Amino acid sequence: MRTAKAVLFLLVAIFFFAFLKQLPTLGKSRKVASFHHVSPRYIEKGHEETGAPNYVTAVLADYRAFDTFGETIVIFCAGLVALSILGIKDHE
Amino acid sequence: MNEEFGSKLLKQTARIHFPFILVFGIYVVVHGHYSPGGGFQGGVLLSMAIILLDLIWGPNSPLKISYSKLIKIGALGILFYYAIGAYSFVWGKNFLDYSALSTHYTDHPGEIRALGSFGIELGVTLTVFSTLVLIYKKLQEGPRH
Repeated sequence: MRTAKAVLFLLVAIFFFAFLKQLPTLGKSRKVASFHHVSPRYIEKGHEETGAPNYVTAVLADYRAFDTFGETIVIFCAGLVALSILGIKDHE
Repeated sequence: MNEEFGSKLLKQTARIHFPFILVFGIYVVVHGHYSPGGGFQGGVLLSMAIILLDLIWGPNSPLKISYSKLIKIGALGILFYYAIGAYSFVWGKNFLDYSALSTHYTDHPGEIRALGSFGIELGVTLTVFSTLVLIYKKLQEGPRH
């Protein structure tokens, strides 16, 4: 059992470090995985297309508005679940 | 709280702070475009104003909202969000493509889209506000009160 644990630990460590080597360097924008896809479009045309003066708003409320819609529903559901677990009085 | 908690000092402090918290919440919602903030944060701030009153006055809170009303406000927020999305859907654009909202008022397409994102922020604000007040109210009352 102990040897199995040791081997497993070693394997995980090897995979972990092998994976770490492939990660992009911190702070280097040109190596980020999504650099060639949507990020340049958001940065270059975000203000023009959405009218939002900062990128965060442009992405959150316009490009990814459907995502925000889901988040809102999740929050509402959290409230409903809290209510249904704890229960409410009948006449309310 | 289940009983009244505040002394005279606490009550006066809360009384003075209440409108300022509300105004700051509205400010955060409205300026979500320009500065950090928006629907989620503004909704939390607005609900804090109600919770502050509830913490100090307890059952005699001057601003009581019933559960059914809170659920209705939350659902209204989601419905408002959905209505904006569905509006553009009906007019032949993608879901939540704000450019369908109107093209008569301005030549600049960005402005009308900014209005659309402000609309959805309002919906988010309503939902977050009512949900936080609801969770607080329920948790402090305890089960089946």
